[in-house]
Amino acid sequence: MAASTPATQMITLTTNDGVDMTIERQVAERSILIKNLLEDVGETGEAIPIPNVSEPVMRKVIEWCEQHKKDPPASNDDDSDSRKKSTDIDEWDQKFMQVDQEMLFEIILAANYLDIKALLDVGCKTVANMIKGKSPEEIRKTFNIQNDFTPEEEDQIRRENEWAEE
Amino acid sequence: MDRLSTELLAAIISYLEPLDLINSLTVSRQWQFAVERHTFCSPHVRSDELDRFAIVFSASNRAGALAKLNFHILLPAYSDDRCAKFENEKEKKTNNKAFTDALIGLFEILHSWENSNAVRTRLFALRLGAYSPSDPGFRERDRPTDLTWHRFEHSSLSLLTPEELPSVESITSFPHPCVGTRYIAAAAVATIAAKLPALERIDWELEDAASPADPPRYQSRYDFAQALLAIKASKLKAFSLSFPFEVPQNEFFEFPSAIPPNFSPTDDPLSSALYAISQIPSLQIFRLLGEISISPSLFGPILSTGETPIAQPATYPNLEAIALELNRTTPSGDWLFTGDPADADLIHYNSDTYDSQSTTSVSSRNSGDSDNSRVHDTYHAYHAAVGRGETPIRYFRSRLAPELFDPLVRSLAQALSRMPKLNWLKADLPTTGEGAGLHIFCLGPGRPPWGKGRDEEPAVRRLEAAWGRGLRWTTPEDVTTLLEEWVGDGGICKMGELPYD
Repeated sequence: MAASTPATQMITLTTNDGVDMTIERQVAERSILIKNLLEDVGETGEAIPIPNVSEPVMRKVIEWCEQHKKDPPASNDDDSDSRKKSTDIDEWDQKFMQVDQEMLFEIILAANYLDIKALLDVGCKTVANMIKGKSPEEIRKTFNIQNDFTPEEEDQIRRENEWAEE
Repeated sequence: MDRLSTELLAAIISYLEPLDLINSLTVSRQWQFAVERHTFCSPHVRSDELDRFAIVFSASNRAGALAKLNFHILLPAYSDDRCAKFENEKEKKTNNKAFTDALIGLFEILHSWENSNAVRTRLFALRLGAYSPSDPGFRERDRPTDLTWHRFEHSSLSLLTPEELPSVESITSFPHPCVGTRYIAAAAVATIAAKLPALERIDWELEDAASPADPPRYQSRYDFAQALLAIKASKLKAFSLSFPFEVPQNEFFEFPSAIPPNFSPTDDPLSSALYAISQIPSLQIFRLLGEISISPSLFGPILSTGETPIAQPATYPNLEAIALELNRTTPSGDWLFTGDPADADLIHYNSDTYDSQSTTSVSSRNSGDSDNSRVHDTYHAYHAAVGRGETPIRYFRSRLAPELFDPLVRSLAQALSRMPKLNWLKADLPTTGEGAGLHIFCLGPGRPPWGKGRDEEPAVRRLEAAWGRGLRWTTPEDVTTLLEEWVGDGGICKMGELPYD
């Protein structure tokens, strides 16, 4: 048993419900937030508190990071303004995102907080696919949203936007 | 869902197609706000819709979504008969009035937002254009007698009352041209820029046009120079100007000078104005493209021999990159190249190249006003091409004229020492036809001549200058010394003739 590769470095995270989770550093570093924290703090070996994420959500996020730990790092090209985005999601990610709505939004919030852009993108695409082809009323029903417009307001806003978009 | 911030909702919505966007819009107020980050980001506004624009954009914080405003200035329509007539003075005046009024209208709205607590804008880009609904492309169908775009190819739109244009501090980028059929005078474009003190990027493609007699070439350039001098953009980072002067293909052709009659031939107002722009302390990138005709004063006041400078020449504190595409002619109307006229081969003298079914002359335009009679004007492509020196093609100017070119390269070489951050300079001068011209590169440590990679380039300053054998040019000794001083000890200086013409 020749140890040809250096021992995998492990780190510990503490979720907001007080659970310690020990994972590979390479996996954890899919999160830019954790990567920067580790670089700033150095190798103290102490657990890193993650105050905004609970254990069940963290488990899902780590599962995704494990799967994607070999992916090339996200490019810095800021294409957030380009509207020609594809909503294609690869098969593994599609299965991964088959969770209830509550968990889906928790994953999006966690990905945003932990700064994992690729996971955030998958989450947003999943929600976008749930919106596609639906009427405003169907969208409200799907996500349990209260309508705070009068019919006249709805009409006016639609007309103003159609003008701006033409 | 309600736990998602508007930013995250906007990120989700960025994946939607237009129809789904419209359906998402009226789900709730939070959704409306998120969708409008997209729908109101890059609107196209016509000048006859300004009232609506003001109302719609000052509501619901929509002005804050603006990233790029496309403003289309509508010029008056004209009759079918007028489509067959060159634009007359009266029509030009009416167009200038419509152009000026529309711009003032827009700028007043934008200015009023800046003084209002109710409307918050972020920094955005302005794109301008102008057209008449009777112009080709907008008109339903063209008739055979239509002059199409030749009707207004010698017209340019000007601001009649620039002093009425308020300043707007939320515009950081002003690329031009973008949209529309009409040419906006260079001076008008620069005057608009002078009202935008927060500009960070200027990227213009304009023309140094020689053909219209009115205004003469020197007047357009002078007006442009004066307007450039009024630009006070203290945050300007990048200035890119394409200002091509169409070099006559007939090298016997005399083309108009760009220097006003009462100026000394070496005193080009535009070069001096561009020098003033290059001195803006925040400037990092300075590009003059499209074979611009320029004099040595581009790099600062020219001293006659023996004269001592009054003050230490200013420096370019942040300038990192310069690109120069030089013209083969000088602003004073000379050629940077010389040769033996006896060498001129008549390459082309074929009027069939130009579609000339009509033999009527183009005089009705040159005589000024196109009258209101029902006789249509004609555009004669061949005559127009001869008038521009575009045909016949006659080349004989193959050698560089050192008395004209050396001062230019000398002033450039002198300026290098005042550019502490310069790490990329490229200057090109083309020559006749297919011949090899002259190219100069000044490269900082590790900077490649092309692209962005920094691999495998020596970590020292490098200067590369090469020119076609046919130019028969030798670098003046003092210029060589200046260039060697720029690369410094350990730097690489490669200068010489290419093994071909």
